Amino acid sequence: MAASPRPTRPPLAPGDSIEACTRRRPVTSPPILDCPRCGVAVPARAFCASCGEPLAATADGRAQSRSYAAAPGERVTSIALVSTLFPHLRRADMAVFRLALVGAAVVLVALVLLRLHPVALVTAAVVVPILMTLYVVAVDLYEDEPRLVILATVAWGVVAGLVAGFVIRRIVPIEPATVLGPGDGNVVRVAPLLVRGVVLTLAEAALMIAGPLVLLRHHKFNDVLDGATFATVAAVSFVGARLLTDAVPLLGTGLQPQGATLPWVLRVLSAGILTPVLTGALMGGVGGALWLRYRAPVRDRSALGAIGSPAVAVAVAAAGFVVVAAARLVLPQAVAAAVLAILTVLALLWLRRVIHLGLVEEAIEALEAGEVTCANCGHATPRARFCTECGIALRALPKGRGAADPTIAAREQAR
Amino acid sequence: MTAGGLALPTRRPRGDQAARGGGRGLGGTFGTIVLLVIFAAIAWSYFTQAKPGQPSCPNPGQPCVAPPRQPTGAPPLHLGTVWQSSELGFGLEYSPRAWQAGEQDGRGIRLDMSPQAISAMGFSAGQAIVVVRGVPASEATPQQLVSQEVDLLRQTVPDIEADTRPGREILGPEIGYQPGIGNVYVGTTDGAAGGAVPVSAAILSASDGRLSTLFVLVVVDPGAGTPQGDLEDAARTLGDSLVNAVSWPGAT
Repeated sequence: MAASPRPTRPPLAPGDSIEACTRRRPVTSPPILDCPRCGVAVPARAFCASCGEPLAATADGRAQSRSYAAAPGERVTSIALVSTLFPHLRRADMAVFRLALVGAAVVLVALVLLRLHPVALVTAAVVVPILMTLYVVAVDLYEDEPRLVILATVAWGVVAGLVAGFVIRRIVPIEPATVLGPGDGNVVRVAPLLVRGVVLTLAEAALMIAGPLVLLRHHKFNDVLDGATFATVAAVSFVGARLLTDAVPLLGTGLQPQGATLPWVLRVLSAGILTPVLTGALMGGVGGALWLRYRAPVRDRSALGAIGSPAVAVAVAAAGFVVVAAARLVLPQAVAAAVLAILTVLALLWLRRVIHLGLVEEAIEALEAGEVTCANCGHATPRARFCTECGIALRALPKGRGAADPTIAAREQAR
Repeated sequence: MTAGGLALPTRRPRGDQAARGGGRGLGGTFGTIVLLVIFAAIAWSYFTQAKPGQPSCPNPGQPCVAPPRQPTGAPPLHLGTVWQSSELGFGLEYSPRAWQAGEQDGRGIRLDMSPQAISAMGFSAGQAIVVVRGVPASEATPQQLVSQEVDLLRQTVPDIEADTRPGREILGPEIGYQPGIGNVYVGTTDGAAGGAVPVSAAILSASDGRLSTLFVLVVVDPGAGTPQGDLEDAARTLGDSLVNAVSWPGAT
């Protein structure tokens, strides 16, 4: 006797958020989990829709929610620079980028030890922007879109950074916020602190995001990942160009100007690695929030919690920029560097959540392309590579929708 | 694209393709670009650096002429603003058009070069400040005052070092015609955007046995210049007048 097929399960409900989907839910809306073999976020059914791996033993949505979609071996809460800034790379390519970053840091320190301070600062200005540009070109991030879009994003950051640097240098007098006082201590002056630490810092941040905002109008860039990528690329390019405008005049002070070594090591590593990473992460968070609010499906808008709100994201990023700028102007260099490092870690964790959401969103988009009835077992399964109920490769099935094999269907039903 | 009669997602799955150019290719490209930037920066720095200044006096380390002596026999003629230390009695006269008084207390005062003076000399950037401070000689010697001041400056100019370039030393240092010690220091301070701004500081100190005084001239972005010279030269000229205008207690 042929067993009757199980009732068709509806796909993800339109109102479900990503967060909700990662928890155990009634059978009408299966949770999402990362396949332990291929790492793709798939419905928590019997088999992975992407690679066919049996999922029964790992169908725990809560455990899955900590796994980072771009690097299944890492958690969303892991502190990992390369998989956060360059999430679309293969693991082997991530190793190359990691090596490039470490190598660049070593070169920067070596330049400082050779007392080539201005050269080190100029080099620091280009390290992360070059890596980011190579990344977006190398992974064909927008293969379906004109390359012009991503090049325009880089160009916006570079041009805006150069213009901002030269204009600020020309019209705003270099006025230290901390100066010698008449007594035994330094004096913090409010006006320069407000102008350089708050007004100019926020103006530069607004300039960074202005370019990517133009792309928000285009419906074809409708993913959270799009917003995060555009904003991060523009921000990193901006920071590099801005630092160049500060560094190039130093070249005139000589090839090996005087200056103690250790402060310069801190400076080039802060300016060349930490600052672009922090800025890119904060701006990526803002871009992700904007795209989440205005371009992502309604059900996902609360997926990041309060930080996913554009107003909150902008406020958090602005606070981060101001704190770092004020720390540089007021605090001793080592303390300011520590503040920068702490904020960079926090910003990376934020960007990581945004990217994770974007990648899961992409996976769900693919899975929501519709369901078909598996010709092998007769169960409804997402349009993907493998049947989520019996694990057979859908590509291996005949094109026609023949009746389900009653034997297999009965075995599946019993299981 | 379809398979088994099923439409596959239009987006290519991420992460299953090697990066364009391959890992080694990317690393090579990155390394090549960084090397080019380094060589370009070295070349730029080499060809644009300022020529080392020639000592203006024939005997290195010796003043060209004897330092000026304090005029005697006539009451002082005050053309500028006079500031007097309420606690220690020493004073300073400065031009209010060139200098603006900043924070002050019973032992010292800070003067900022006025923006009008900076722009009148043709400079579009940079800043100069002067700090004059005194302590009873029993509290600190001139050497100790200089050392304390360098430590204080190090909080904002972390890489500060003595300027050892030829022609940069202070010859015949004195404050208010009182011989003392002096040196020039250089370094950089952090910019808000992460860059570095050059700073130079001339620090002098002298003592009459009862009082030790300190005179500090800090120039931010000293290389900001016009064809006639840079801000540091201009600030030192103005500062030279100022350091002679310090009056010791009891000397009228």
